[in-house]
Amino acid sequence: MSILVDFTTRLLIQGITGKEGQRALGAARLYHTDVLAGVTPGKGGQHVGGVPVYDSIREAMSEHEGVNSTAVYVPPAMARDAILEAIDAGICLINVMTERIPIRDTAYCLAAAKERGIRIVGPASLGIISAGKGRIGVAGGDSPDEIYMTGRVGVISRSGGMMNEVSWQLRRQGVGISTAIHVGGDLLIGTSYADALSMFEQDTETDGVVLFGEVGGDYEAAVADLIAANGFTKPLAIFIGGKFASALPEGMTIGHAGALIERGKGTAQSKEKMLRSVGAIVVDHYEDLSTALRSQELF
Amino acid sequence: MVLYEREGKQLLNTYRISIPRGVIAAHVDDTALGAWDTFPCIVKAQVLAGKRGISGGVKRANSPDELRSIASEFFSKKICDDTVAAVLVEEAIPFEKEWYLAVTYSTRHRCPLLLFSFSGGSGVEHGKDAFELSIDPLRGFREHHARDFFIQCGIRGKDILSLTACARSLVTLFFDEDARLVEVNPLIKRPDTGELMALDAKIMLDDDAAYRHTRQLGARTILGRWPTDREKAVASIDQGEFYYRGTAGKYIEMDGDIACLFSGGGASISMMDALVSCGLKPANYTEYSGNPPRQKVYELAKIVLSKPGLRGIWIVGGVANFTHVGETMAGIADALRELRPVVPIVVRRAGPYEQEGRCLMEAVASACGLRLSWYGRDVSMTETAAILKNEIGIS
Repeated sequence: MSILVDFTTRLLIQGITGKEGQRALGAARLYHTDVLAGVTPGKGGQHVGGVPVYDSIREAMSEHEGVNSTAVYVPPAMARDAILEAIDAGICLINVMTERIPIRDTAYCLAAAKERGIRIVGPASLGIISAGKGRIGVAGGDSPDEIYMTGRVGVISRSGGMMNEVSWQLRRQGVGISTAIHVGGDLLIGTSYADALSMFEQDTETDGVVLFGEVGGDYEAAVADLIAANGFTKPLAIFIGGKFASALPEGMTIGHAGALIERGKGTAQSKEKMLRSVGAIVVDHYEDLSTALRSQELF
Repeated sequence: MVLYEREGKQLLNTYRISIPRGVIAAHVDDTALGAWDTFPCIVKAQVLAGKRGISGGVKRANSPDELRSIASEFFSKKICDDTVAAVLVEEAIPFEKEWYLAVTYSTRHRCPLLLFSFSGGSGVEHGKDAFELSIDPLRGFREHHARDFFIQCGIRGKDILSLTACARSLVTLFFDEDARLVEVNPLIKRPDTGELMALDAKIMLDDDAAYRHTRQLGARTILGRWPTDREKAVASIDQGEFYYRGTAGKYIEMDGDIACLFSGGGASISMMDALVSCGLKPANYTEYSGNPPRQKVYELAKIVLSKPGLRGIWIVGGVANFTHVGETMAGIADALRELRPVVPIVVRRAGPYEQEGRCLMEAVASACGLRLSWYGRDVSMTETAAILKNEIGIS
């Protein structure tokens, strides 16, 4: 197993005619993932790299059976409608790469997806990669095999760049990966750390998880609650970036939109304390994530 | 973007929430101060930081002389480590009740929340111990939900109606203005008229929704001071049609002497930590991400490297997914060629076209006699902080 993405993934790409959409198409194909169709309103009838483009998801799905995932690569002002179109079409996994979507639009889409039982990963997510099986998005770029080695550790990251870097550090230590998921850097995200951990808990091919987290928000609180309630029982190692930010004024965001400085809340230090208290391994340097699970005698 | 109190109150007022009558003074000789004739009045320093009340940024004046002297005091110092942007003078409002009412996004519920607390006023932490009402983004605000909510909070009588009306206005403002936070603290009830009034306002707008609004807002402070010329110059790099694609426009100057050029949001904040924990001090925070073109990176690098007093330059990024390392390094190399810094430069970067990037940087170093060392994926980003420290000769 693995989570979210595997050999059965049948992908649609919204915004396939754009530069980023085309890159996502190349990335999927390079890594064992079928892209059945693309959607760009107004460009129906064209082909991108041999993949047919449609004006709407409805049209694409009437021509192609079996679409079960979509990747959203449209500009921020069009993102809300594109995501709602995918929700209305009942596509059960929506990976939103678009950055800088207004938070009001994100909140609306997350609520709409929740009502339909549809999973959104993102926004501002570089994607999901299941080592050796498939990927949605561009994690690992043109050389995914140099970074993502098949194995039994799950990776969750708030940062796309750091997901790749952490996965590389794991590989250097000979630790392979089941699935790596970039949850996105925005304040509101469709798949939280706790959501991803719940999926990894169910995955028989994941023995432990490493997590790259950041200052801001309180998604770690849900992780602590999940562990305390025995909803996640596997070893978990966490790095939280942004300790320096406690010296910054509140209301500021740094790095990602979700890395919001709030007085006395969501600091890297308070998150570390909360996670330690439920038995998670908290490391001081991100590269230590690659060896942290060793002490669990798993690897 | 965080609004000053006065800006926030004016926005509240356009959504029919009462605010005290007041004037704003941009400096101590502003004619608005001399023209003010209602005493006693409340004088409030306009700063972005919180805890202003208990930090001496709000005072009562009983006469024109007192008003002038308080304003003069405010303009001459920092309040809560923030430069005073203006002084707001308002009529003093008697009140019988002080509440806290706010709307913000909750990462726990992943939707907007209405927050209400009986303990409003200064010193109240952001809705600590507040009652919470989730607002369904699909269906919007419903008054009967709010009435039930206030009843459950223990509100009785006509206050239920006035608070519900106020909550409706706040939620409407929150959505229509694309706010991330709308906080009224305190929201007061006048004993004479029973009217509710916002005595303070904190509003944070969503920068990502700026394209939907035509607002003209003045300058605001960053880290408690006015933006520097270099910061203003960087802010303009990302403007234009494709503002969301390949960013290179975040730059905050700090007190240290290590110029930082980070790739990616996550790397940038964890490397700031790494730099600080190894005893070095950043001259700036900056980050470029996605796939910014050579020109954007050049403009950013030129500004970052032109800050006076640098002792070292740290150019760090992870193993990139798809950022063209050759292209971004070309932009940095252009800046290095132009500025020829004499201090040690440590680079750590890997990913697509890393060899091209390395060759470009080493060629510039050799042609211009720069003290540059390049590290790839076999050394962690964190480790290169100590390498830089060693190069500079700090033990």
